Order: sequence, then structure tokens, then C-alpha cells
Amino acid sequence: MVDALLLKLGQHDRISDEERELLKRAFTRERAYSADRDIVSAGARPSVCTTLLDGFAARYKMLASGKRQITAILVPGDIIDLNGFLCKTMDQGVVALTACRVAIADHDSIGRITDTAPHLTRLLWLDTLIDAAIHREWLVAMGRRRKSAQLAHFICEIHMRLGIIEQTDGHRFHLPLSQAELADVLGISVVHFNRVLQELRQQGLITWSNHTVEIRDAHRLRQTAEFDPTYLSLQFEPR
Amino acid sequence: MPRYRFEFMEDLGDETVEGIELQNDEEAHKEAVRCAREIMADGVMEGVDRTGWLSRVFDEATGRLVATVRFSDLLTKRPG
Repeated sequence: MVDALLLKLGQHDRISDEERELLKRAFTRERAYSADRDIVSAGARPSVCTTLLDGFAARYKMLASGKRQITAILVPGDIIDLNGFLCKTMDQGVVALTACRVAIADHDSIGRITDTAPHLTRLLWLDTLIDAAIHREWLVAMGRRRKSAQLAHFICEIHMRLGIIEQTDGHRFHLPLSQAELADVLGISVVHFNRVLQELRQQGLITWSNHTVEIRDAHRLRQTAEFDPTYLSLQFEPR
Repeated sequence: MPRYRFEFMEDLGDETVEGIELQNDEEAHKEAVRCAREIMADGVMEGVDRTGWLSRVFDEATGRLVATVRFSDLLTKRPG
């Protein structure tokens, strides 16, 4: 059930058979969500952790004006609310952007892992550190990069993260997000998002149709984005 | 939902964004205003004055002109 999570954690260090079993025994239940439903809401105090099995989800904040800012895109293998295990109260909501399936672990099971499996605990800790690193990159992109560079960075990152869980086809990947959702990622209007997208297309960096993105010139896309994947900590080494 | 086409009359030619699905004409107009403000703000950060730009919104199905947004009209001077 937690294959994508194991693929993701296994990028960073070797996971022993015992650790694999521990994770599999922790995430025992499944639940499905339809698109646009909250998987966990801001202000909730969850008693479980969930990991995404299928679909795309997003962390988000709502503003008083009714505008939404998406602060992270979650792909299969991502743990949606590990922060709820220690922070207790969720400071942001997580919404299913497409139909999603999640695996659920009680906090008691996560507690048993932290009590008995220090290496696996460190890998889960690393996972939250990488989440924070992704947020930092988004912050820099939003605050300091041109919108076209911000979108280029987003495409590079999602391509790399989907590659880890074997959901890319070379330079192509499926990204079934609506224009409004993508605009909420960049923090701009839908029309402005489309202008920015056109800019990358016209430069021959990408194609994007029917929810399929193809990177046509990876080198120049990375240059435009100033993309350096160090923040994803993909080196395989002892942790 | 109806689909709208946004045409931008810019300094160096025109640009068109097509196939934007929005609830109704009012939302399309609001979207044009939002986008114009963002484009002007980006311009300011790049040191480029885009207040001379104009955008027009059309209903794609009928070709009807829904709204015209002059970027300069979106800026007001503070009194005094």
C-alpha cells in the first residue's frame, strides 16, 4: 500500500526489511477522496497521519478576501499531515485536487516507530525537512523570481518529484491540475498564468496540452528557473 | 462555464489568451482587472511602464466584447 512512500524514502538511504514492515503495518487503512474535498482542514487536530497513494493534492491557505494560495503540491508518496503528529493542530488545509486515495496510520503507530526505529524516524524527519526546503524554494521563487522563472522552477521540481515515484515518461508527465489551481500555485490570476505559460511555450522550453507537460529543452528550462535540486536531498547516503 | 478570450494591446504588438473558463461576464471583467494589475506590478519591478496597455475580453462562443480594461484607468492618484 505504501510503495510510493517507500520509493521516496528509499531515494535517501537504504530501508531495511524490518523498517519496510513497520511502515506497512502502520498504514493499515485506505480512504478515497473526490476532487475538491479537504483531506484535512486547517484547524483540525488529526489523530492519524495520511500518505497519498494516488492523485494530486495541495496544501493551501485561504485569505479573508476569499483568495486561495496553494503552498505545496503533494504527489503520491508524500505524507500529508505528519506535522499533525507533533504540531497537533493543522495550520493549513490539504485539498484533493484530483480524485485521491490515501493510506492512513494512527498516531499511536507513528509513535511506535519513533519509539523503536530511530533510523526510520530519521527518514521521516528528513521528509519533513525536505517539505520545509520545498517551501523555502517556493518562497524565493514567489518573492524574487520572474513569473516565468517561477513556473519553470515548478515544472522542474514536479518533474523531478514524479520521476522519483516513477510517474514520468522521460521528459513528459501528467499534471491534471486546472488553470485556476495552477494560478493559485503561482499566486496570480488565471489569465496571467496563461500569459506566463505562453511565454515558456514560445521560448520552446515546454509543451503543455491535455494535462500533459513535456519538457522540450531541459537545459534552458533549468537555466530559466535557476533550478538546483540540492534542496530535494536526493543523494543516497547514510542518514 | 463560458469561455473567454483575452486580448492584450501591448507596446510591442498584441497577445491573446484563449479558452479561459469563468463563471460569467462579471467574473471575466474582474479577472481582466486582476491580470492588468499584476502585469503592471511586474512591469514596475522590471522598471517598465505598462500603464499604456489595454486588454479586451470577448465571449469566445459569440465573439461579443465583454469588457475593455485600460490599464491606466486602474490607477488612482491619492488626493493631496
